[in-house]
Amino acid sequence: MTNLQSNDSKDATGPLTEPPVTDHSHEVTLLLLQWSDGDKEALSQLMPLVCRELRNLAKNYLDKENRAHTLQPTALVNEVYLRLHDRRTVSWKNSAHFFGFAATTMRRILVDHARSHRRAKRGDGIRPMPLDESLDLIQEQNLDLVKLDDALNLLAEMDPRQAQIVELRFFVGLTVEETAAVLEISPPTVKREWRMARLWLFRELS
Amino acid sequence: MNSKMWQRVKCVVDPILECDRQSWPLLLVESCGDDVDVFLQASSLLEASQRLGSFIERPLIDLHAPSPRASEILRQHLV
Repeated sequence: MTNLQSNDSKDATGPLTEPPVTDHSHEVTLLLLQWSDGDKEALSQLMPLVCRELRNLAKNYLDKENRAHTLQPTALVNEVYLRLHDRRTVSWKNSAHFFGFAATTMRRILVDHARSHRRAKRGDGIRPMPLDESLDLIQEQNLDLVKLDDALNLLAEMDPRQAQIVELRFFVGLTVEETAAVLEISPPTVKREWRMARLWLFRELS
Repeated sequence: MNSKMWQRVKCVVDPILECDRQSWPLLLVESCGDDVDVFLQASSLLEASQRLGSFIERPLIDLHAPSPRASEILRQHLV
């Protein structure tokens, strides 16, 4: 079973009890297994679940009233995370660890989805999947998520913290203040680094 | 570009972005000195900044938007 813990020394008040198993765990597990077996339709069903759960989870986590308590993600998210993370047991060291992993997971799912959609558009015999609202936004912005992902990998080699900021701001939707809190840096630093990262990525994609 | 060069470019570009655009050329020359590589990188980024617009400013996930409960979403997709 899961072993998700928030060990943030500032916030954690004690060990986290195992979250309750929901009725959805089995279905989610099944979808994840189907996805890992190459069933792209399973991913299209999983993605909105992950997006919304992350949003709810992050909102709760950042809620000041909850800051003093241990993180208790739903069993649904536990299962998603565990399966996406090579079924390894995960212990959250701190908020940066949690959000870093969440952001990377989000990024991976969305980029996989974008790659799949691109192949479908090329007519490689793969049926286009229904687009999530996030992908509608990508189209709206005329953004090539696959190229952005490649550029972000290059940025991470030059400046890992800037890449983290982009993941947290763009892929998870944290505000400047929230990003600063997660990374334990000042909001002005986040603003400066975010601006430079956007600028570099924009130039790379232009 | 390696990490060391990027740090140098950032140190040049970031303060210039805070200044009036008309002063950028002079500040760029003063800040870069004889370092041609930094000059080229910095000037390219400054030029790009004028076309940046709202590029990736809007997040893919709107954390602060009201969202339906996961169970409802799950039901929609599984039933």
